[in-house]
Amino acid sequence: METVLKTNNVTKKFSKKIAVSAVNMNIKKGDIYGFIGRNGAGKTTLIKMLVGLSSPTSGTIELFENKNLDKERYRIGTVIEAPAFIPHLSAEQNMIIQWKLLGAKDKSIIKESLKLVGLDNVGKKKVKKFSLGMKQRLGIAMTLMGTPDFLILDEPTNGLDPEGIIEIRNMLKKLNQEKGITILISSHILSELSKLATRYGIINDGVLIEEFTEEELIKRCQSSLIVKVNNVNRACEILKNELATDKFSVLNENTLEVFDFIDTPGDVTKALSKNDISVDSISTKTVDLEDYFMKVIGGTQND
Amino acid sequence: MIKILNADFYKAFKTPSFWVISSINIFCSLLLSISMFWIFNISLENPDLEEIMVLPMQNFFQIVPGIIASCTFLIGIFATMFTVSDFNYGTIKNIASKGYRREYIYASKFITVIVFAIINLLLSFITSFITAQIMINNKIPDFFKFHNDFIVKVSKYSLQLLAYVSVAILLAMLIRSLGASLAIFLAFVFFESSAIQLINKLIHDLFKLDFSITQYTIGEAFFDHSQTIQGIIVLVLYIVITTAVGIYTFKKRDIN
Repeated sequence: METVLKTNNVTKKFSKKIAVSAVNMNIKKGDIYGFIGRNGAGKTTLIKMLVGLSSPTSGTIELFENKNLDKERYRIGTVIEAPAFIPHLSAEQNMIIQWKLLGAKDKSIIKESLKLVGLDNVGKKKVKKFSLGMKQRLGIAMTLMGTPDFLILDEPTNGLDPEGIIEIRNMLKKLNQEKGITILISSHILSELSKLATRYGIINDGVLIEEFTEEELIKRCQSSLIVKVNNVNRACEILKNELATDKFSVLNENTLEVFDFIDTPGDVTKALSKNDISVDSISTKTVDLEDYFMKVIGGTQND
Repeated sequence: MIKILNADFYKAFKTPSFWVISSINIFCSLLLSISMFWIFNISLENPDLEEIMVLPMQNFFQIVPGIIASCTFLIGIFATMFTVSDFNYGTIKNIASKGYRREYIYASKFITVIVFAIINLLLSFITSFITAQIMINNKIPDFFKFHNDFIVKVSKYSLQLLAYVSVAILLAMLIRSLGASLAIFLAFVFFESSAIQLINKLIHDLFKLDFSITQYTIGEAFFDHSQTIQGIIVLVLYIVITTAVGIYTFKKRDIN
């Protein structure tokens, strides 16, 4: 599969501070890459280097398996931090500027892009009078013009209402599935990101800690059953012998964490009770992307 | 390059400063022309006054370069405002992230401002011409007869204007803030000659030298009419150096 983005030890230093440290990022064609990190972790600095707004202190960037970035950047659509427009112009006039920059011939793509984000009926209203959500939509419409192969969106759902967030999510999914557009999206709303991304990268203090797929995340975020019993050792034996599972761990003297039977906790209760083990409580523990992120970041901090 | 230029032209024509500054330019040219031709009219009506009044050359094409030269600082203001606007609005990110070379982005700003300057020089010329037709018409013989001085004067002035524009764009690209770059540019235009006089005096007082740097400034490059070639070289150097420094720093610096 074609690699859309590959960075080799990309580093950015600002005088003495290292903002991005030897990042090796890989994005394949068709990915929706969720880029996660706290404020100041280095997300925007890395994105700026990818799109050519800043140069890496060291390291190289490859786009579409090509090192001639100026040529390949033409295939990218970007919204960095906040979408940028000329405030005294209308949405259509701002789109015309972008259209001219792209050197596109067919002017109908302006209306099509505006329609795609639901801004086709704003008329001559100046952008400065737009709500934050409308501005975000316009920013996305501008990136979509010229049908880019790769979208880089830095916090695209900032300021959007819940309805707007769902609309943008659905639109991005549609673009990815129907047009095969690869997307790099950074967001603080991890629950939202987890509904969209197919691959993830976690950055902390300028270091790309991990890259993993959606499937890997599911495994890592596996849910479990927390079972409180009066005899842990005996309960372990029953789990092994009668329920034929070794997917459990002992948390303390009367608590077990079972990674199996998540959908059928009754089976665990039944087996334990049948062997005279008193089950004080049984509950489901769910780990989502947010918990996983905190675990990873927390782990790094503790190191 | 053509694509950026296309977008920049569109932006320039849509920016309010284009129309406001052009209107001010027309207004200033009109005022200057009226006052200039009014003096002619008075002297024509009162021939005695000619003895006590110093009248400028009585030919439109010799007078008009002086009138159109008055719009230098206005064109410089537009150059600063237009260049900084992309940084202010953040729209420079939209251009730079499309993979365009920074030197093309810089050159596009320069060319757009030059086109604005040409439009404004023409507006100024037309305003003066219409005013002269109304106020002078046939009162002075050969007043509208073309004079070769016109081309020489306009060429010299255009070169000076280009040098000022290159300074304005350099300041805008370096400072990236409207207030500061505009203030520095205006200080440069208005206090250039005063600063030169001060430096000349310092050179004279400190080193006891009669060396003058007057002819090495933009405003006074053609101060000595016998040194036209030197003036041209000085101005070309200003344009080349400021543009080279501007492009180099723009390429090196990050866009935030």
